[in-house]
This record gives sequence, C-alpha cells and structure tokens, in this order.
Amino acid sequence: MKAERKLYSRRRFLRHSVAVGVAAATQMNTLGRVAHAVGGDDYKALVCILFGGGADSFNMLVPYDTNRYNDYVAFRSDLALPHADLLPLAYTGAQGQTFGVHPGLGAVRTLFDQGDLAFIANVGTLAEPTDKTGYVQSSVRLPLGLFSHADQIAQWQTSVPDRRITTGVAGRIADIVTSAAPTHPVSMNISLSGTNVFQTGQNVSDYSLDANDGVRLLAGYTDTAIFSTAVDSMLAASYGDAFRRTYAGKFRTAIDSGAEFKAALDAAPMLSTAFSSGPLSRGLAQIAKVISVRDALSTNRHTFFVSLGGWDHHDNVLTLQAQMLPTVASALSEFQQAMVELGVSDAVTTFTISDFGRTLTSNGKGSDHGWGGHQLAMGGAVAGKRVFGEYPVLIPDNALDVGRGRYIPTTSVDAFYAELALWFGIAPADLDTVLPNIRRFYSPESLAPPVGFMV
Amino acid sequence: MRTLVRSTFCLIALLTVASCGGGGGGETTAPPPPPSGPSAAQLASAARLLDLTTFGADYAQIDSTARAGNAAWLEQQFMTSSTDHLPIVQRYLSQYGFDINADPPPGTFRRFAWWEATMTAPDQLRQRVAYALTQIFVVSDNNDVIFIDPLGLSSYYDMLLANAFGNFRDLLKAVTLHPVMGVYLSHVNNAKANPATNTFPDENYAREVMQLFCIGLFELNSDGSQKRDGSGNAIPTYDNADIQEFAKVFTGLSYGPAQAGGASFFGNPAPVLHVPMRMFEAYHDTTAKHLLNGLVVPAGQTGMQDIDAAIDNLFNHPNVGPFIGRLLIQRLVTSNPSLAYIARVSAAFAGNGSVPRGDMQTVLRAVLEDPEAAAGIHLREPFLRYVALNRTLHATSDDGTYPALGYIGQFLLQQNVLSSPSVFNFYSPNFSPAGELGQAGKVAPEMQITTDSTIVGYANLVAYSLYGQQSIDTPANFPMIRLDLSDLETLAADPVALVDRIDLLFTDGRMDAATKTAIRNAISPIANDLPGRTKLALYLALISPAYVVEGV
Repeated sequence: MKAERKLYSRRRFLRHSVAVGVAAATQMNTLGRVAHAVGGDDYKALVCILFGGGADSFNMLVPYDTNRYNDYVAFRSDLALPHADLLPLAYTGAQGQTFGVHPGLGAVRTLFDQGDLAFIANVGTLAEPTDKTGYVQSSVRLPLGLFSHADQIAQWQTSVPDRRITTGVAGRIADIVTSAAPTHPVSMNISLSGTNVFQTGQNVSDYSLDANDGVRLLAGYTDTAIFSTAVDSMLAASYGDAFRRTYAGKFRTAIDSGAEFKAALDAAPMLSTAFSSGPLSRGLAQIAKVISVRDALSTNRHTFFVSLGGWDHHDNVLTLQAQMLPTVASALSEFQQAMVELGVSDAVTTFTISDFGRTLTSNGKGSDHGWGGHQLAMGGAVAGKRVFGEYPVLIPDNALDVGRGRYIPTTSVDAFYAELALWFGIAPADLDTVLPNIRRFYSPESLAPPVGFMV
Repeated sequence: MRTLVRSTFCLIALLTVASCGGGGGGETTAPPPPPSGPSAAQLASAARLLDLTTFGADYAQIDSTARAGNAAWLEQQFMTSSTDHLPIVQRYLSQYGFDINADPPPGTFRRFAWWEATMTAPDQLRQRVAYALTQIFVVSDNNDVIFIDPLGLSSYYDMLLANAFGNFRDLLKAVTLHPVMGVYLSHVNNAKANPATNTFPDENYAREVMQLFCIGLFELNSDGSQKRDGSGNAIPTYDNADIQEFAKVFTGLSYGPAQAGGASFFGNPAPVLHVPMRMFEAYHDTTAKHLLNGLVVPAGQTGMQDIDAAIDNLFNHPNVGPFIGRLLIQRLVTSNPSLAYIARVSAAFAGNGSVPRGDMQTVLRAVLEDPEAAAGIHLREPFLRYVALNRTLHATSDDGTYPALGYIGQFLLQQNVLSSPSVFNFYSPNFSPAGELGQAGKVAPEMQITTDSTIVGYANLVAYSLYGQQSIDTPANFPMIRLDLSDLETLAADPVALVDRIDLLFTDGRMDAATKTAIRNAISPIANDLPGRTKLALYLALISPAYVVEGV
C-alpha cells in the first residue's frame, strides 16, 4: 500500500511536471502566434454573457429624444416604458438622437457614463449583407431557422448562420491559440454554464466550473491508491467504441483539470469586491476568482462563458424585466469593480449576446421573436460612453422592419466578433478561420476597425 | 443539497480495509446456471430489454423475463394500465398536512409522486415512455407559475401516460390543450389581434409546436434525411407567415374551472393547471387561416374546430413519422440510428390498412424490437443512471415512499424530471461534441450535459448513495432511503461472481474485460468486509465508461 502510493505520487508528479513544461511551451507559441500580443504580463480575457431566450433589448436601450421616443411608444403600445422612468445616457448621436436605459439598469448607466461600457445597436445574425428586398425576395442567403431559438442561439455562438456547424467563435480562437502545442490540462475556455457551442473548437472544449461550487473533486480519489488505481485503469483502458473513449477522456480531464484548478483556486486572494447572490453575480464571481489566479493556470488567454436564461418574454415582459435587469446591472458593476481591484480592467472585456431581439409590437402580454437587438460591451479597453451601430427608426414597415418590428440587423455578428477577436490578439490573417464568413462584412486587411467599440 | 455537495465525503474508512487484505482473492469461475434456468445469453438479452423498457431491473425480474421471453414482457407491459401521479400527489398533500395554497407552496411534491411511481409502478414501460415524452414535449418547473403547483406537472405527466400507448394525434392535441403547456409556451390567455392597441396573437406555441413537437424545421424523407431543392438546399417546412397563421388558431384559450362545474373566464390571471384549457370564442380569431400544404381553414369556425383542423394538418404532415421516430429512438435506444432504422419506425407511424396512422404502440414496438435496438449505442442520461441505481439496488424506506429522492439530482447532475432549463430540453438531439465523435459526424445529445462538473457530480452521487448519505439535506420528517445490497453480498465472497452479477444487472452482461479486471483487482484485497467489497465493486461499475455508455 505504501509503495503503491509512493509510485502513484511519483507518477502524478511526473505528469504535473510535463504539464507545466507543456504550458510554458504553449505560452511561448501563443505569444509567437497571437500577433498583437507582447511579452510580460500579456493577459487578456473575453467574458461572454448569454441572455438565453432572446432578451427584449428594445426596452433595455430606448430612444429618449422626443420624436424617437414617440415613435417607440406608438409602436410598442402597452409594452412601452414611461419616459419619466428611463435613465438618460450621457451621449448624443450624430443625428441628435439620445437614449435612456431601463430603470433597472442604473448601474449600467453609471458604467456607460464613466466610459467603461458601450452599446452596439441592432446587431444580429446575417449570412450576408441583407436589405428588405433581399429578404422578401429571398435573393440573399438568410440565417437558417430565422426567429427560432435553437438556431439563433447557436448562430450567435458559431457566427455561421447559413450552416449548422459544431464549432463556435471562442472554440476556433482557442484552436488557434493552442494549435502549436498539446492542450494544457486546464482548457483556456472556461464555462460556468456547462458545455456550449461558443467555446467548442475542433480540438478544444470548455472546462466546466460549477457556478456555486467552483471545482468539483472526485470524492475519495486522493485518499487511497487502491481507489485511484482502479479508476485510473478503467479510464486508461482502450475502448473500441468512440462514445466510451470520449467519456473516459472527459472523465480523465475532469479529474486532472479539477486537481490543477483546485490547487490554483485555493491560493486565490480574497477580493474586497463583494458579489451579490444572484445567479449572474455568482457566475461572474467565480470568473473573477479564476482571473485572480491566472498566473498559476499558466495561460495568458482565457475565454469565459456564462449563461442566464429566462428572457423569452412572450408573457409578462414588463414585470419580468423589472425583476431581472437590476440583478444583471449589479452583477456587471460588481465584476467591473473586481477587475479594477485585480488591476486587469484593461485586459478583460465582457460582452452580452442573446438569441435575437423581439418584436416591437405586443401580443397583448409580451413580445415575440425578432431579429436584430442591442448588446453591450464592458471593460477598460472598450470605447465606452457611446452607442455603436445603427439604432433603427422605430416606424412600422420601414426599410428594416420585416414585420411587427422585427429588424434586419445593421451590424452582423461577424463584425461584432471580429472587433473582439482582433482586440484579443487574433491576427487579421487568422480571422478567416475564426469567422469563416467575415469577408462578406469586413475585410481583414482593412485598416478601419470592424465596428469600433474596442479602443 | 448544498451541504451534501460540500460535505467532504471520504472513502478512507472503507478503503483502509483494503490495506489489510491479502492480494489475490478468489479467482474462481461462476458456477454454471442450473439446468432448468435461462442461459446466460437469455439473461443478457432480457437484461438489455429491461434496460430499455424500465427504470432499472433486479435479478429476479431479469430472470423471470428471461424465462417468459422478451416478447411476453412487452405484451404484458402494453396491457398494463397507467399508474397516475396526481392521486399520489393528493395523498402526499394530506399525509404531510400541506394545503395547496401553503406558503411556500409544495411544488416539490410532484417529484415525490414521480419517484414513488417510478420506483414501484408495474407499468414501467408506460412510465418510461412518458418520461421520454417529457423530453420531447418539454415543459419545466423552471418557471415560477409551474413550479409552485404540484397538480399541474403531475397532471401533465398523467396526460403523457394516458396517451403513451394511444394515438399521436390525441397526444398532440392533449399537449396543446394542457394548461401547463399553455403557461410554458404562453398560449393561455392569448387573444386575437386588436388593431386598436396594435397587438397581435402570441406566436410562441405556433412556432414550437411545429419546430419541436411534430415536424421540425426542414422537409424530411421517410428515413429522416433532409429533402433538397434543385440547388441542393434543405427545404424549410414553414416560414414566419405560416407561424402567424397558426398563431391565430391558438387564440381564445384560457384556464378551465378549478372545480368541476365552476366558473372560468378568459384572461383569468389565477392559473388552473390540472384541467384542460377551454376555448372562449369572443377572443378567438375567426378569420380564415392558411395552414401547411395548402390547407385553408375557413372563416367563422369555432375555436376548437380550428384547433382540430390545425392538429390534423400537422399530424398528417409527412415529416411527423421520421421526426418523432428519430426522437423516440434517441430517447429510448440510440443516438445515431441508421436511416433504415428511422425508415422502419416512420413506416410504423404511417400505419397500413389495419393499423391507423400515429399508433404509438406500433411505433414503440418498431423502436424497441428493431434489429438495431440490441446494439444501439448511447450515453445514459445521468438522471436515469441515478434512478436505475435506486431501483436495481432495492432502495427502500420505512413507509415505502421516497420523498427524499425528490431533492436529489438537479444540483449534481444538471438534470431532473420536468426541470429542463428551456423548451429545448437538457440537450439538443443534434448535439455533436468536439473531438472524434464530432469529427465523425456523430451526435451524442447526452454529452451536452456531460461536463467536468457533472461527471464528478454523478460519481460523487453514486458514492453518497452507496455509502449511506443519500438522504442528506432532506426535511427531517421524510423517511430515510436505504439500499439493500444483501443479494449481491451473498455473492461477494467470489469476486468473479460478484462482478458478473453486477455486469448482468447494469451492463446487460456486456462489460468489457478491462473494466472487469480493474474492478476485480480493486475488490479482491478486501477479503474481510463483503459489504465493503460489494459497495466498491458497485461504485466502480456505476462510474465506468462501460456502464455510462450502453449498447456497445
């Protein structure tokens, strides 16, 4: 028994040493490969927050100047927010348009006004540049399953709306970043919401942290060798079937990554920033904790994914948004504060995605599935205090409205992600790999930014 | 639950026994079965069938099924009437003295009923099929209105049980009119368009009934492959204009009366979730509706006439057989059925001169008795693994009820019955993981919730269950759950016999040699503690890839 344990420990030690060596090599290759990266403490992270169900973002970012607000009220009827309740933003657009945010987004307004947050208006899935004629006559390629959750939520993660593919934007980014070396035991893609397409690459998949408990360790595994030996030998067996090989591989990774992760997180500093108890706050608190031990995890790039569901407000949209948005606002504010505390505010960019925007018109209780919607980006590297993209004129059946106030997006998800990927350090030449449709919307050789919301 | 997860469970107490063990252990072979009993192959075949058609079977049931023959088991199951959940909920409410309007409301009671029925009901196949249907016609207690009312989801389950062996058309209509679905997909209190207020019918149910419940997004051949147009593109089954037409059909429904003969009215804000929704004609859109395949529903019909016409329109769409057939195969048998398998099931759905279209019993036979079913590979759902553990290992309590089990699962497994995060179920039928499965074009739906955190969460739950901490964190007045391993312990003196029996119970006699060897090597040194040896063998078997992936 004693000898067994000793041997086992030695094996673990060797594996760990190899892992550290590999990690160093990965880092070097990453630095070589990621063009924008420079040496030293070159850490960057992207934090993706998915509002599952299709958030009614036309009630999150609302026209504020009189004419545009009146159009909004006429269109939304019983779903319109009172003007007096809106929180005006310190920004005026080129045509004099002003905006207010939902009264539950007070902390978001503060972040916006202090320059740490920007909105991107009417962004959505496009297979190629699309106008109403092209839509009506089907003379352009349209996103598959337009207006439906399953496809739209996936396309916001894959950025390939005209095909159903199994890899996502962050997965392909991670494939590139880690391509020159075997994968580090802990993936650079970390999910607080389980497996997702966004972080799935050809070779890379997410490491899944529990939003409440963080790392989950296999009970008993480190207590005695007879147990770990049996588990190890079952997981190391050569299975003839791909399902069993896949499961055994995932189990092995779960044990090894869990041990690595636990060791790193146990040394995490206590943050003075306090996080609330809502699900998004809990998830972002775990992300802040991981970022605080980034050095121990031997990677200079992370992507994080956290999903918050319950936005499919066909019913009761006003009441439910009033309940949910304040928890979102405080979670964002707490996270940004934690990033400042950790000194990585400029290195961490948080952004939101959602299945789609929703109809401007009401169904008498809520709103139905739409297309373009508004998203936000937050962080020290964001060109804050601005509304990017083109906020539609809210007049029924105009050139962007394909029915009931479903707006053809004026900024594509490809352009949105290209902006983030270039900031993250992906070389322009690699954009075609990360975003296979990007040239339909943006030339990677261009000197202008895809959207402009990153500094 | 949190304490359970956080409690640092430790196997040391058990496993230190191993250090005093002698090596070796009895490497003898199992005695041959008595001449009159079923052969090993017959037992394995029965075990496989019971694996697909129950929530878990013990040796006695495998043996008796093997003796009677697999066909007899299926016949008997199709003849067995439903064990309904709603009466069990009512009994729990009175047993624990809860009022339906109590605060906090006893929504969890519907899980107690589910566990009791699942653990004890003789209609295992019907219950298992109803469970599969909960992952197709998804509703969820991840919705405040639905969560607090235990009558709603248990009556929804009873509706699935009642229609599980009936006709798909009746099932689709019953799903459409169930108030839990009305709340979940918001077609309850859905009024016709009102030009004065610029409001339109809710499109939610109209979309999802087509996309998820019967025809899917693209036109299919009868083998489930997509039809292609002249340019090689898939052909959408409907567009947004069609959805708006169906949305008009599903207007005018509101809750029925809470008590028989009681009043009900449109716009009733007080949910009544256990009686079918009613039509209120004044709120129903009576204009003509242009449905699929050229069907025009004339203006001026009643609301229920419109709904019947729409259900018929959907039910007769050629996609339903291959679409629903594939989903049932995936839930019950295998992730990647061949086109020929889907075609056989969709032919069963289509019916013939003597069997009507949509006969569920015929469809289920085609799914379960197909030649491919015996070797249908898929990853067992984490929640069903946990259920099988409890059934196969004779989980009992002092009073024969199982409320404690109703608390467990979601947290560690990301799964619980009728608790999906969205109408898209816990996983997509088309989920394809990174790595070799994805690269080979295979789907593995259950892999979508197979994460670092749930893999370990499941393994730890197995440990908690075997080592006696299963009922942690449940209210004090609920009976403790205990497993009964005595019949395995009587075999445990012989590690080979023990592992072979576990193999039959959980892996249908198909456990690979490497896994068997790993388990035998681990348990053999535990010579003086047969219960401990049994538990360790079970623990390793239940977390093994050989068990988690079935059908290989």
